[in-house]
Amino acid sequence: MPISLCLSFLAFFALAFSMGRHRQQMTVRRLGAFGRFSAPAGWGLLLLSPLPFALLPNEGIALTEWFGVLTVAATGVLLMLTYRPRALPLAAAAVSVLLLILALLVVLPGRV
Amino acid sequence: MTGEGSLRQSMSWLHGWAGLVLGWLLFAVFLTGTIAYFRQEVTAWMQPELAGSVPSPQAAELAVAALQQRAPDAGSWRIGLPTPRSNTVSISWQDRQSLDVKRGEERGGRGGRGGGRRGGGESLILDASTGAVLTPRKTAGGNFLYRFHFELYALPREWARWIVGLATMAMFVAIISGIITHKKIFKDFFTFRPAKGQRSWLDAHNATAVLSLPFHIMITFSGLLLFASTLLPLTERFAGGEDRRGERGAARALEAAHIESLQNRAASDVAGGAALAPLVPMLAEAEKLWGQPVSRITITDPGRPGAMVELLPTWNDKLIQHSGSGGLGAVKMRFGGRTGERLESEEDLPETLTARVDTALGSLHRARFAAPTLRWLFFLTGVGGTIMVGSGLILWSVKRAQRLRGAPPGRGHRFVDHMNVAGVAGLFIAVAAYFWANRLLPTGLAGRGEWEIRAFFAVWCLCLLHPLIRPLKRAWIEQLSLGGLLFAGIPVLNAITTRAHLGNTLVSGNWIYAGFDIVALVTGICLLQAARRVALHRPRAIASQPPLMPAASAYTAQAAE
Repeated sequence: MPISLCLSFLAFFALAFSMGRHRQQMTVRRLGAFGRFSAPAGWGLLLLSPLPFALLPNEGIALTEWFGVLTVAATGVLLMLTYRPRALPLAAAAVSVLLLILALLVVLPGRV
Repeated sequence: MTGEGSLRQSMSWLHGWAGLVLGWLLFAVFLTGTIAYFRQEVTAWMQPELAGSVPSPQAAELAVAALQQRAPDAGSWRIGLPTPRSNTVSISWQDRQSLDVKRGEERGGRGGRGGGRRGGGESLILDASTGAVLTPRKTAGGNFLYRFHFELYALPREWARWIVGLATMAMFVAIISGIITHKKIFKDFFTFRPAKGQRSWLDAHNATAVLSLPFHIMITFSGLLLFASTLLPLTERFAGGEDRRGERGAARALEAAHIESLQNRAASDVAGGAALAPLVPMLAEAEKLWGQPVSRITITDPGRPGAMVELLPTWNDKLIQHSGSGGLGAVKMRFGGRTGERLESEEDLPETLTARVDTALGSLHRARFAAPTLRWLFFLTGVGGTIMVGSGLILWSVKRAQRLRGAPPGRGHRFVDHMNVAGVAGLFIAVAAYFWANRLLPTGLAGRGEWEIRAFFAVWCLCLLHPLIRPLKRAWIEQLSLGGLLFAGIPVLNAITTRAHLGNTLVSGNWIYAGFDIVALVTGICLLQAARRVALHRPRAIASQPPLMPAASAYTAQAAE
């Protein structure tokens, strides 16, 4: 669930980033490479976000959890855009690092 | 005239009225329903005498020892082990005579609902580490809020279900018409513009609606299905859902016969001695197979040759597993009582596709399968739904106040404003009063649970009267502040009246009790913050233009909050 939460938070961040009004809120001037690809990146991440739940034994409960995670992630992005818009890119960077650590924690024990 | 425009307009009209007519009831249903996700935890908090119990691995053995001492000849024993939602052990037993009567009925296929509770039985709550008997205060607990959520109170059951059922239908209409009315679902997905009057209420309403839309659709549709047998009595015959009474009797008879044959098998096995085999290995075996701990143990015919142990898991792990009374029963494991050998492991799933869909939607609504994290997600989306209904109600009034441009509101509009105060802010006060009554009423009071409920309704009625004698804006501020103070005061009150306060529960990691106090505190702070916002708000539209009529414009200023 934490991995999916990170993925969907990043997905919603990317989607918000692709929208002009929200980019202004984040006071990002230059589009940069990410700006051009943020919409497809957001949708891509959103498609990836249910994958961690594929490990769960029951698809019904997995689907339920995924919907809950999506709601929480989107609410997080919305609240940050409203009250701390400039910190949102930073938060997204922090979440990316967290995601990397979580992913390593899942993958590594299998390798060692 | 463009087709789309008129469709959207008529849908907007439909959305406004479908939402308003039963809106206050829907708000109460959402608020109490959201709390009901933590029904057990709320009940636990309302019995602070139980807070000192700490779950231990010896809980099952302590329970068996207590049962052996108190009811060695009972026909059956039941043990409820500590779970993430309860830190005590509950034991109950049933006399042999009354059990025999019940079994006879089951064999005849006439087994009634909840037959296990009939006379000749007793139940106790034990400390999970010491085995000492705990005597909690009497309380209506989380159960009252849960029941109120779909059966209201003191009304005939069928009537109440009809009323809430109609509200659910209105909710369903409001969801569909709301989606059609919403102009820019994707464009406004992340949009919330605070402190902008009507704009903000619309944003809040849209955001809470859209972001938890899967939850809203699920909860409303499954809610309707749960009422199906009330609203459409004939469906029972076709749907084959969870509640077919007639077939249940037959199923019980079959089950009783099956258990008897298992018991005979256990009795013929001479390997074991007369005593009950240790439970711990059985619990371990079940936990290994299920991947989750056992929460309930039933021992049939303890101390007899045919003694049998039946184990249930802590939560369902599939949506299509029937969540019967207490949310379990689809998955069972049975052991020979003397040998400790596993006799069978059973999973009972509905057979037809319709029954499976029906069961899955029922499971989703009640969320009894949900482990703690998922339960919190349900709770949070429920909070979103509560805000959605509340902001929708206020939006109705704000929108019309804007249109009046300072003209005095009509009687209907004033009625809506009045009801909004009592139905939204007042309900928070009533719920808080319910919890305060639990701590303040004398513990030995006869009919204590009833008095808690009376406190709830008495306070709510006062909240209904209060806006009559106060200007609208003052009424909002006062009720929100009072609700905020009462909620934020709950941890303080708890610290004064009990030992189950945050100072102890946080230290010992007792999250059932600590969680309640923290959620109450957060709720209180949010309500106080809302009161402050209302108090500080100066509507711009009114300030920039000279008022038409002083009294009327002052009124709109209040309504625009």
